[in-house]
Amino acid sequence: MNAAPVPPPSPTGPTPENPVPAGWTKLPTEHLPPATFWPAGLALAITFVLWGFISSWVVLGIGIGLFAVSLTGWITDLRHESKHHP
Amino acid sequence: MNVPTSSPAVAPELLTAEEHAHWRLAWLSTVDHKRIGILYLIFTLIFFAIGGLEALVIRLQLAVPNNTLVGPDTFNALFTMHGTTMIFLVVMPAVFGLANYFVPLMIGARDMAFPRLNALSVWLIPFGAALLHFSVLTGVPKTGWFAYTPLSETPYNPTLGVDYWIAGLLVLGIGSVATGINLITTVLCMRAPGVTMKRIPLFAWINFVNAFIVVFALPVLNVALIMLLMDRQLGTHFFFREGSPVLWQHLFWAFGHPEVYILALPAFGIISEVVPVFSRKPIFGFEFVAMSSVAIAVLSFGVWAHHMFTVGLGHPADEFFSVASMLIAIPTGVKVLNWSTTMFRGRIRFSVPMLYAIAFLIQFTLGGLSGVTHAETALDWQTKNSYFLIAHFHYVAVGGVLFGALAGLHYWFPKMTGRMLSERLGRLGFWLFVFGFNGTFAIQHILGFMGMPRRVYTYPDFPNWGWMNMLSTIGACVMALAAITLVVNIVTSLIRGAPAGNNPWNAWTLEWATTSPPPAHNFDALPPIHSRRPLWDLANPDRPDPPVGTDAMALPNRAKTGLWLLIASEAAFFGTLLFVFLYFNLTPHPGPNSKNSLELGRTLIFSACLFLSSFTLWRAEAAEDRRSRGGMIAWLAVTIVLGGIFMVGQGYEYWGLYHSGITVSRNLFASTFFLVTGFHGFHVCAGLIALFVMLAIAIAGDFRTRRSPLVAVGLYWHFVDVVWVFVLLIVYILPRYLSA
Repeated sequence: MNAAPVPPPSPTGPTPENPVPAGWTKLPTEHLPPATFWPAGLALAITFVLWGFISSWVVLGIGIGLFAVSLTGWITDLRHESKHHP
Repeated sequence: MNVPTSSPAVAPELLTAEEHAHWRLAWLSTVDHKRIGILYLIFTLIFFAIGGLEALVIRLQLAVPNNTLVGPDTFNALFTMHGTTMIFLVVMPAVFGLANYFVPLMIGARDMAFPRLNALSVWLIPFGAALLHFSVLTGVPKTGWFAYTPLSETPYNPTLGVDYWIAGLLVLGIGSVATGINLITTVLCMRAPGVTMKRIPLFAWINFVNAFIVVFALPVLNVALIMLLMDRQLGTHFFFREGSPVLWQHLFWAFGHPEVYILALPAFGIISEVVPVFSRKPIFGFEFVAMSSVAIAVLSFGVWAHHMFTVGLGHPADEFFSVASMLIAIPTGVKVLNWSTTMFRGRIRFSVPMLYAIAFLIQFTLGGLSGVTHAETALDWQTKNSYFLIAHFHYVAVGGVLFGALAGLHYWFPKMTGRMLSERLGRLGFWLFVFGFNGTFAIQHILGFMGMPRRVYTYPDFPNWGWMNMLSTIGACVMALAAITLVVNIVTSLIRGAPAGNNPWNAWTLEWATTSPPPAHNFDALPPIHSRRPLWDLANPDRPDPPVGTDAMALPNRAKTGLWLLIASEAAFFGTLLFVFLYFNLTPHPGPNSKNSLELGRTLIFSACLFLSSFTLWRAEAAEDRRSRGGMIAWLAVTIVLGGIFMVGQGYEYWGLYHSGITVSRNLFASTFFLVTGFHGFHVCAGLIALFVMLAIAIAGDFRTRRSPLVAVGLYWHFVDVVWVFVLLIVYILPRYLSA
């Protein structure tokens, strides 16, 4: 017995009303990391550390402190994510 | 009543309703590759304005002979900041921005492999730039973007400007390496089903190849910058007095020439997408374009000394680098042939992206040809320090790379914003750019042949020099008008541009298989993928492209891949450090040296602790495999103790050397010793912090039900141990035999 003919994939592409056109493969749901300020904080920290090397111990200290806080926040984010979205 | 502040300039489609109310913070905290890509492009535009204004003042100063608009110091500062800004803050962010936005979309991925790392990279751009421009307050560097020593050393540039320049570039370098690692990992590990390595579009492939250059070239620059900073801050003499100014040139150009391809290759990728779509033909010789990119990447590391022919390296070196530099023209020429042949008998649509692509093709070929003349040593000697070189470089960097980036911007703007750019304003901007660019730089070839040297703030009223320079300045002003037209086009199109739809150019790659702009997760579904042009196959079911390869594909582990790439980059960093040690210590120094100052026996004892720590870390991994949490914690603790003993041992050695009067500035042996072992110690400390964090999290019970990232952290730790094997051999053992 012949199988029913498969309709050709839709050439029009997705729309807000029809996000999965006929013949397209729906992708599995995937967790995307939420917005976070820690990367920007770490970038600022790296800048302060390098600035501190050529300016003053105070700036260096601020940079190291900010680095520690940002890294801790980043790791906490990762731990939270791996617990809830393993 | 509180009215939420909304962004006046950002189209509502780019943000959700909540983010629109808090748009400033939404952009600061974003980890979405598309917004990060847009951030890169916004930074590009800002610094393009700054670098462009600097160029305009340079050209106004040179418009007439004996001009006094700016003095020599200001002129030197201007061309230093112009070069640095345009290379590190305009072109690199532009190519990274487009790669960030479109590589994940082209391979059907939801995001980059490491979204947070991606956010770190992008924020390092404005912060690094702030550091760089802070030098305006402390004395702007006046050394050129290449910062040749000894000119960039403290006696000749005593203000802190060069130090801020170094610090800024180090910050930017960290971000670039992170982006390179992220791009490679994304392409290897994040491809959608059906997107095999043979099927990824050329833009994604070329950026993938390019990221390897970034990962290996930037560490060389970072080493050179650190050494220069040590010279200026700690009193070492790596690059002057008993040190070697030529070593700076070697290190700088070992990075600098691959950097030219870091800038150019992504533009090749853009042209490889635009030309086929607007010629309505698949690209001619896909494999040749793909593999010639690999050839360029490999050869780019073997041509640096063509920047140094005038140093006098001797015939063998000159001949080697001359031949290598001519060789690299071959894969580049292959690409030009591929693009031209793609257009041949195509149904060409002269839309703005294609106009920029055609201009790219002509101008880049001219720049490439004038580049080949610099591979010829005798000719290079005559033209190197003249305006001929300025013309050549700008034909590559502006006529090629900038025009390529503008082709990409006009091609992908509809996808990024959901709006079409104005075709009318786009054409006006294009022609202004073409006339402005060629007006500025074409005449400089002749000025160079007539003997006008580069890097001079003014010139005498020699016959014809005046009007030629005036023409060049008028061209620069026309380019400024072109840039203003581009900004006006972008702003007006963002506000009231025509809706773009999903695929306004009838293109074929996956970024066009989603809405414009794409949703946060990029795709809900993907079309069937059997070739390199899935949307062509979809639109032409009766004549699809032949399938490329099989659907079988394997995606490596993301964390491990990223870590291996970090290790590769670190290997380049330590390789350069060890090369520097050998360079300065192959002939033992009369004062303190390895043989008379380093105690091998004691070093071997604390080295044994470090090597043993690799074994104990492996036992910790094995304990985790056996699900023995207690065993894992115990072995991890032992590893940390052993690593700590190594650090104490190194500290004791430093203490002893310090009390013997051997400080970092004592002589070149001491400088290189502290440089190499200091950076190794820094990496051990970083590894110890990582292990300590792992231990704390393991004790907190995080790994009761899931695997820890210990294998990835372990890879890094083992690498640090392997590096010490080389340090031990090269720094402690080899010099004893050389002395004998």
